[in-house]
Formats: sequence, C-alpha cells, structure tokens
Amino acid sequence: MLAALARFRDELEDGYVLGPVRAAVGALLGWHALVAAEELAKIGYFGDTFHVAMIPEALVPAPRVYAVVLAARVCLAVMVAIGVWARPALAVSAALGLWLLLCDRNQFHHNRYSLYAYALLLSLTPCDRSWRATEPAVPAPRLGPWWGVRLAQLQVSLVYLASGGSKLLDPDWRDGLVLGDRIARYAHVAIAKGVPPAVVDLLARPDFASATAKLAIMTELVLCIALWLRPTRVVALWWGVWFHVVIQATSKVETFSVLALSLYGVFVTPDYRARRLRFDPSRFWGKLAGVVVPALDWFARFQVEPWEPDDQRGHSVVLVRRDGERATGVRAVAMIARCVPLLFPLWAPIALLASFTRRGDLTTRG
Amino acid sequence: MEGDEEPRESDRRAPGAEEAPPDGAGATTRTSGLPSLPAAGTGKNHRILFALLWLAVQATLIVTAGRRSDGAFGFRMFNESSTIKLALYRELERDPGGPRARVPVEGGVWIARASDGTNHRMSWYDRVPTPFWAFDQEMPASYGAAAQLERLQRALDDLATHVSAADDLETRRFVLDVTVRRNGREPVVHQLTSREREAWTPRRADGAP
Repeated sequence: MLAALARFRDELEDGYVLGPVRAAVGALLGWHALVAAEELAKIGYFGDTFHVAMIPEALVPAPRVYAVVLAARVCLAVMVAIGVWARPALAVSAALGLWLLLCDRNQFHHNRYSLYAYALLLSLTPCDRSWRATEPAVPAPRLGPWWGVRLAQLQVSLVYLASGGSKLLDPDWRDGLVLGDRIARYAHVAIAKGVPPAVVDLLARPDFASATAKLAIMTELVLCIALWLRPTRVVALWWGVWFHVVIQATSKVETFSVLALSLYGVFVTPDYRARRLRFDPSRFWGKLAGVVVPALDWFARFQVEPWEPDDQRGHSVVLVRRDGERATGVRAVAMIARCVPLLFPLWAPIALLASFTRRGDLTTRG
Repeated sequence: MEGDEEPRESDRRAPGAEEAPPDGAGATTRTSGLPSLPAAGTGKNHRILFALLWLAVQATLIVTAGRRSDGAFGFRMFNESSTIKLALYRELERDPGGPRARVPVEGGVWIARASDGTNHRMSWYDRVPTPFWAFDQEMPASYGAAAQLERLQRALDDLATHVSAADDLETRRFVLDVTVRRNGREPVVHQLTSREREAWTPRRADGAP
C-alpha cells in the first residue's frame, strides 16, 4: 500500500498526450463562458432575478463584477486552449467556474461541475508541454509528475461509478421505465430525424427498454474498472466513445459527452512517437498516410517518415509497432485507427477484419 | 490481402527501421532521454494528502447526493424521465378577512390594481426569467420531479416577496398547480402556495408591523 502511494506520488511520465486534452477542456471552458455572457446580454444579470445561492448572498458577485469575471473566464479559456500559462489559467478558470456555480443552483449542471473539477485536476498535470500556439516546438522537459493524471483518471471512474451505481439502485431505472419513457416521449423527434417508426416502436417496448437500461448501467459500471486495465482499456475506450456518441445524439446534455470523450485522453499511454510509420511517397496510399496521419496524430503516437522509392514491389505503408512487430495493409490501418482519435470509432471493426489476416490477432497489444 | 504478407526487403530499408526496439520491450518504453523535473520524494507527500482529501470530498458528495433534491455534485445523470405541467393562480381577497377568490394566471401574466389606482401588467417572467419554466405545457422535469418542486416553491416565494404593493394591491398569495408525471406513471397534482405577501400583512394603528 505504501509502495503504491509512493509510486502515485513519484510517477513521472511524458506530458505530450495531455496537450489535446487541455486544448479541448479550454474550448469547453470558453464555450460555457460565452454561453453565460450571451445569457447576461439577453436575459440580464442572474442576481437581479430569482436565483438560489448555495453560498451566502454576500458572496454573490455584483453585476459589474460578474461581467468582469465572465470576461476573465473567456480570456483564461483562450489561454488554456492555446497553452499560454495554461496550468494557472486552468486553476483560476476552475475556481471562478465553481464559484459562479455555487452562486445559483438553477444553473447547476453535472457537466459544468465535472468540467471545473477536471480543469482543476488538469492544472496539476504536465499538460502545458505540448499544443502550445505560441511555441509550437515541444519544450523540454516534457516529463512531469503524473499524480494529477491518476487523480483525473480516478475522477472519470468515480463519475461512471456514481452514475451507474445510482441507476442500479433505482428500480425505475433497472426495469427500463426511465429509458422507455424517454424513448416514447422523444419518438417523434427520432422519427423526424429519419429513424424508422418500427425501430422506435421496438426501442420503446418495455422488454427492449429494460434490456437497454441494463446494458447502459452495465456499461457505466464496467467502464469505471475496464479503463484501468491494460488488456481491456482499448476496448473500453472504444465502447465508451460510442456510448457517449449515442447519448449526445439522443439527449440534450450540453457538453457532457464532448467532455467525457476529451477526458478519455488521460487514459492514453504516454509513449511519445513509440510507433513508426514509413510510407512510400510515390504511391497514392503512402502519400495519403504521409499527410493524414501526422495531421490527425494528436497524441504523437507515430514517428512518420517516407522512404526512398525503389523499383521493387513493396508496401505503401509499413508500421513498426511498440513491440517491434511490423504491420502492413489492413493491420496497419487497424493500428492507425487505434491511435488516431478521429478514426478511433472505426477501430474495432477494422481490428476484427484484420484479425482474419494470416498474421492478425485480436489482442490489444502494440 | 496485403496484410497477409511479410514486409519485403524494400520496406525494411526504411530510414530508421533498424532502430526498432527489442521485442517485448517496446510496450513499456518511455521517452526518458529528456531531462526530467526535479526528483520527487518524501517532500512531495502533499500530493498524497491532496489526493486523499479530494477523493474523500468526492465520495462524500456522491454518497450524500440523495439528500439533495437535485442530487447536485452526485453525478446522477438522467436520474428520471419525469415531466411537469404548471398552472399558476392568484388568490385575491377583496375585503380583509373575507373569502378568497382563485384566479388563473394565463401564460404567467396578470393585470392587477396598483396603489396609484391604475392597473399594472405583471409577469412571472419579470422575476423568474426563461428558460427555466413555461406554463400550461408539459415539459421535462430537469434533475427530477423533487428538484423541480423544490425550485418552484422557492420561485413562488421569491415572486410573492418581490411583487410590490405599488404594482399589485390585490394578490394575497400565489398558488401553483404542478402536474407531475413520474417516469411515465399516472399524473399527480402537487399544489404549491407562496408565502403571504407582505403588502397584505395587517398593520397596527401606530404603523408598527
């Protein structure tokens, strides 16, 4: 136990992978600040009308102070997103956001509270070592203390545990009443979006809703553990991505899903350019990989370089995995999909296809 | 299928290909050639303390979320699929101590006799701005029916407190019928009443309350 605590305290890792997470959190902080500013302009200062303060009324900001705080939040969010004094900006953004959240319970939303909690935890990590607009070159040292990242990972798991646990303990949720009613009430919206009425009817059936509810509960409870285990992490992340995509598409959840997906970045293994991708610039697919992979490789998983074209028959792309094994063709595509965030939703079917090749496997190594 | 083939010799001549890490070692390799931050040690125990404190606070907030009507800070997402429908009324008392009449307030707007003898147009939305609630239409009970009932009670009291006698001499108190349909069940009507308006509090002859 003491050894684990010491490891938690002293762990150092490469902070590059946290850059995209920080930029996404900065964008979300900015979005929320701008929404609040828009409400101030359209509706007026919340303190002048009905509000429910969770702190003494004397601590609720005056109108002008509130306007200044909103302006500061926008500026701080930009600083977070572009990496200028990012960690202090994250901490101050979190503090200001939590303060305003406590000033009016009507404006409380789980996703907003989660955002400020994650921003605070991210400020404790080496998230300022990459994705810096003012200093594009990756500065040294890139290694930094990892305890804040572990805490952010724990927070992600806690959110899943709390959400899944509360649903598990609620008979209405377990039996599918909540989900079935939601589907039935929003059926017209789904049909208007092109979902066949037969599918909507099927989803709203009590037995189907019950099964879907149990799947949702199981997903949340499994995710909170599976994200921590190396053999299950990639599958958990993939399943979680689609889980949140479905939630975002079917519910009004503000930025909840975007935040959850952004925070999946803290589970990315910090292995800066540990894989190598070699492409043949004389071939279309090689040229395409040489352009697309560096552009979308936000976590810097690949070292991408061309090789000299020759007259021998070879491959457009050769990928050298972390374990030194080479992958070509569909196996290389599966590896790229696994490591490139925008292609990650496609990873599982491609990996399944790759598993049918002679050298394919369904493990999550490499 | 291309993936079935071994990489050919021309592939192996890729620049840097000979730098492949030894089998099995690459999976846990970290880029450690970079200078690191000052070494941690016992002086960094505040990290453990902070983490334990953070987790304790989070666990407490999650476990006690049920005590808060809206489950705030408990991450209870999509806890209900309930709906509410609101109907607002004013209770009028033409004569002090006399019988009260209940008058519906359509769309949250009413016209009342003011202290200057004229009629003033008043609105629920003057105190409780959109987008929280609308009247006479079914809407989702965000964060659950209990949370909505508690917030509506507070809003009703706030309205009664802030509608001044200068604008409305008639209304004794506000009444809100909240039709709650919890997770698709049969609707149940909850009647919320505001506190008595201060403008109507009887005063003694010397003017003291």
